[in-house]
Parts: sequence; structure tokens; C-alpha cells
Amino acid sequence: MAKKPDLLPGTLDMLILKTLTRGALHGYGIALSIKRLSDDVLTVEEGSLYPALQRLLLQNWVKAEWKMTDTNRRARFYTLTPAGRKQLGVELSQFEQMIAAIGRVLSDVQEA
Amino acid sequence: MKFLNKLSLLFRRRRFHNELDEEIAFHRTQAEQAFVADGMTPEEARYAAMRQFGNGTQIKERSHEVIGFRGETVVQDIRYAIRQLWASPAFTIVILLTLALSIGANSAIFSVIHGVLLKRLPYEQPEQLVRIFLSSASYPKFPLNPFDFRDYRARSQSFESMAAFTRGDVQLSGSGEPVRVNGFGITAGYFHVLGLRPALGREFDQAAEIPGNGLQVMLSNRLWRTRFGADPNVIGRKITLNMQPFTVVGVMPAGTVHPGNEYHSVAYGEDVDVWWPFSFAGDPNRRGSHYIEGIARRKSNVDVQQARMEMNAIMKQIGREHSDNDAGWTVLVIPLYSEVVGASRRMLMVLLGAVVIVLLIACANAANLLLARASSRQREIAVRLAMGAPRARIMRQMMTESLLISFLGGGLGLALAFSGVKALVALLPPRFSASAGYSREHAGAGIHNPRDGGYGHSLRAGAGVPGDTIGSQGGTAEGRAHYRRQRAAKPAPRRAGSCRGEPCMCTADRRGADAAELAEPTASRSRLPEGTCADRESLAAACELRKA
Repeated sequence: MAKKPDLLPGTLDMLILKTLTRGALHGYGIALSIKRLSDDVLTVEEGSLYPALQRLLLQNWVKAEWKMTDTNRRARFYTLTPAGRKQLGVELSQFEQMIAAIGRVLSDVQEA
Repeated sequence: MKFLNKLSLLFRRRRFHNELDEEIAFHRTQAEQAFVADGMTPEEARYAAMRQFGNGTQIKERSHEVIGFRGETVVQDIRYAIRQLWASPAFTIVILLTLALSIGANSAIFSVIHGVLLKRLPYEQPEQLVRIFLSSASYPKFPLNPFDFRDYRARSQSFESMAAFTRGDVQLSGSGEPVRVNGFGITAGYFHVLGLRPALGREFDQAAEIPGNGLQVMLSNRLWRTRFGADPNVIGRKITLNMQPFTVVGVMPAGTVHPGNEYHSVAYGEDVDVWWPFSFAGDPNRRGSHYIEGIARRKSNVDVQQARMEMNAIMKQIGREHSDNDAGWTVLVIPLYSEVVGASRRMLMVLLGAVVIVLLIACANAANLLLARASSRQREIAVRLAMGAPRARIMRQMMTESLLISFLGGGLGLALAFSGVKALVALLPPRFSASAGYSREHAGAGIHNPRDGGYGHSLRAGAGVPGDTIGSQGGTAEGRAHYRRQRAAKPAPRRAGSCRGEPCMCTADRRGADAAELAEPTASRSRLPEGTCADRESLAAACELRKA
């Protein structure tokens, strides 16, 4: 399988949680939303998306419900739980620290 | 939380998978519709969606891994391995028998070795204990005369303590049926020599050796429990032995093991139940009768050689004093361990060598069988690799199969060892029967060995090129030709190696077997002189001893 640029490792859970802050979405919707918001840069592979969703369900960070879509089809909608929201906060702050740290290192290299 | 969720999902697996299927189907349709909206034909859209979605099975597997438990795939592997073994009964039977026989033989022999050679004698500092015999040109190993013994005891300096004993069974009557029990007459301090102390009461003192003081008895733990209801007040009680009243002076603890005797020795499977004081009756100057056996504990600063020299000097003296009976004897001082183990050591070692070589051959055979099987399963492995199974997973699967085989083989081997020990006991001189109970302890022996085969087997899985193999067996002529070229280019070195290894093993085994044949007749002759039943019995007694 030809690979498009991968997500940064460990960021998929955070992206899914973040996407769900805007409301309930099904798996396809989550993938589409991430793709659109990132201007097609980030592609969530289905092979990673569904296992990730199972992982989040197990941790009780999201919950899933079967509902009807606008086009009247049955789909599984995921919503963020309070625990998931908290987890998102944790992951965001960690991510920001990481980015800031990387940024500092990179800018130092440029000066040298 | 995570664990509980997993646990609750454990009972809703089917629903989990149905939901996932539906979710994936939904996702696919949505993607298809999106492609159609972009202007593709429905068919193109369907393929595009499928391409984009990738391997649906893998998604399901990976999702399953998330919710599954770690050990679950192991169970899966084991079930698969059992099905694989069931599917090829000939292979399974051959390899299991190979392992079972070799492991069984090893466990059986090792059990005997453990029982006979490795276990410590159940006495205090048993290495200090020696047996004392007389020897002459016509009687290489002979019991002692009581009065000679008394002189040894009085004159020798090499020993901390010395005692003598002789077989003398008694009839126990009184409450219940009269029974004959194995008894020994012992001199004062007999148990002190062995380093054993009575559980109740005391052992005989020298006063008990004086004729007329002999109506005293010590009981074994077994007799005390079975005939006297483990009565704690049994000391001082009078019991009827040989129609005479004997006073109980002591009870020995459980595990008081007879050290073996030559003269009227105790039969295999029996132990001693009563001890009575040996009386030095009769004329001390008439020393023709020999019927007691000596045991002694040498001083720690005196070695066996020195003790023997001293004893022989004493015997020379006694021989001069009583030249009618006591001339011409030499004294044997034999460490108790050698007396019990004796010449069986060499024979057991040869046997062990032979069965170890058999085990090696069995391992080589098992490894070869597994390798042959792995080659014939290359297609299956290739298909699984092509389906996206990671190599590590397939290797683990193969290891699981190998381990399953080794556990089954080991289990069967142990079962065989149990009966094997019995068979050995029946075939070999009685001394070997000592260890009938020990094969359990050898349980681990077989478990690890088939792994070498397991490695080869899994390594092949790692080495295979999936496309190559599929082509060679199911596909086009070109594929087959390609396969042949590849084969020609790199011959399988591991298989060649193990095939070459086997003939050497076989030669080695023949040598071991020859050695066994050579050694065995001599070994058994030296131990069992023709017509001496007593020797056989003493071996049996020795077994008894080692059993404890």
C-alpha cells in the first residue's frame, strides 16, 4: 500500500477527541472532518481509525450509539464523554509542550 | 476500567464484530457515494472505495486485538496447533512416541539414579558411617562373632561409637491376631551410631546386653501407630513377643530406616518394626559362630584407611588370643555409602549415558520431523504471510505447536517413566528398586528439549518468500521455474546440517550400547555371585534404605 505522510505517532487519539468536541460523529465523519480541516494534509487510515476508536471506547473517553444519519441510514455515532474531554486537555498540553520543545531545538539549530 | 470493559466485551464478542462489520460497510458506502459525487461511475467508485479502505480483515483483527486479552491469541494458537496435530495423525503419533520413549527412558533411569546415587543416606553425617565385616580366603565378606565385636568395641580408638545388629524376627501377640514382625537384635547405642534419637523413651543401655536383661523392646513408628494406637504412654507397658513379656522402652520416629544388612537381610518393601537388646550369652572363649554385623561412626580425624589398619591390628591380636577360631581373618571397613550403592554406580552411569544419547537422537529426529513438516507447510505459511500475518506471529504459532508437542511428549514420557521404573525394578537387581517413587521429580526433563526443532521450524517460516512459494506450488510454470532457480541458488543449509548430524549421533549411540553390553555382565557378576541369595536380599534391603 502506498503511504501518504503519516500522522505524527500518538496524535490520532487526540485528533479524534478534538474532532468530537464539535458534536457526535460517525467513523466516516471523523475521518472526513480531519481530512477537510487539515486541507487534505492529514489522512486518517481506516485501518488505524477503527482500532483507535475501540481503544477510546475501552477507556470510556468516548461512547458510541447507533443513530440515523441525515440520509436515513443507520450509523454508529461517537460522542465525547467528560473523561474524554479531560483526557483531551491532558494530551493537548503534552502536545503543546512537545511542539514548543521541538521548536526551541530547531530554532537553535538555525542560528548556529 | 479498561480491564472491566474488556471483560464485559468478552461476552459480547459476536455483537462487537457485527457492529464493526456494519460500521465498516457504512464507511465504505459513504466513501463510494463521495466518489460518485466527484464524478466516478458507480463501479469505479466501488473499487476506489475498496482501495482506499484497504484490508478489511486487518481492520477487524486489529480492532479485535484492542478489545481482546493478551493471552487470547495464545489460546487461539494452541487450538490451532491441536487442530494441526489432529489433521496429521501419522506425524503426531511418530513424534510423540519418539519423544515419549526417550523422555520416559531418561526419566526412569534418572529416577533410579536419583534414588540410589544422589539422595543422601537418612542419617546424621552419613559419610562418617562405616560397616564392619570379616574376610578370609573362602569367605570374602562375613558377619562378626559377638565376642570379637565386644573386643573391637573395647579396644578400637578410631571410632566415636560402634554397634552391632542381627536379624531376629519376633511374633507379636496380645491384642488381635498374632503377627510376625521384622525384628533386629541391637547392641547398646545402635541408634546413637546412626545419629537417630527415639521419639519416645530411650534406647538400650549396656546393661540390657547382659543375659537376662533382654526383655525390653523398642517399637517402630508404624507398629506404634497400627498396633498401639499411637499411645503416648506406651513406655513401660508390657507387650507379648514370642510369648514373653517385653517392656517397651522406646519408640523410634517415622523415617527410621534400616541401614541394610547382609545376613538374613530384610526383603524389599519391608522395614524393621521392633528392636530388642542383643545379649552376649554363652562362652566368650568360643568364637566360631558369626552372625552379627558391625556398624560404626569413625572419628572425623580418622580416615577409613586408618580405621581399617587399626581394626586389622586388633584382629591380629584377637587371633593370637583365640587362635582356634579367630586366626586368618582380615577386617573390612566399608563406608556405608559404598556398601549401599556398591557396584551399581558404574552400571547406572553406563545406562544413563546410553539413554542420554537416545534422548539426543530423539531430539534430532523430532527436529527433522518438524523441519520436514515446516517445508511441506510452506504454502500455508506463504498464504498467511500474504494475508498480512506478521512473521513474528507465524513464528509464535510454530513455537506454540512445537511446545505443545513437547509438552504432550513429555507428559507421555512421564507416564511411561512411571511404568518404566516398575519395569526396571523388575528387571534389575533389587537395589535399583529403591527409587520407584522418584520419577515425579524428573518431570521437567523433557519439556525443553524439542525446542531446538521448534527453532528450525520457525526459522523456516521467517526465511520463506511468500510469492515465491505460492507460485511454486499452486501457480504458473514460470513461478515454478523461478522457485527452482531460487532453490538452486540457495540450498537450505539448516536442513542439510541436521540431516548430517544424525548419523554421528547413531554411531555415538552404538558405542554407548556396546559399552553397556560390555559393562553390564561384569557389573552384575561382581555384585551377584551365583547362589548367594543373601546378597540379593541385602540389595533389597539397601533399596529400602535409599527409599526413605
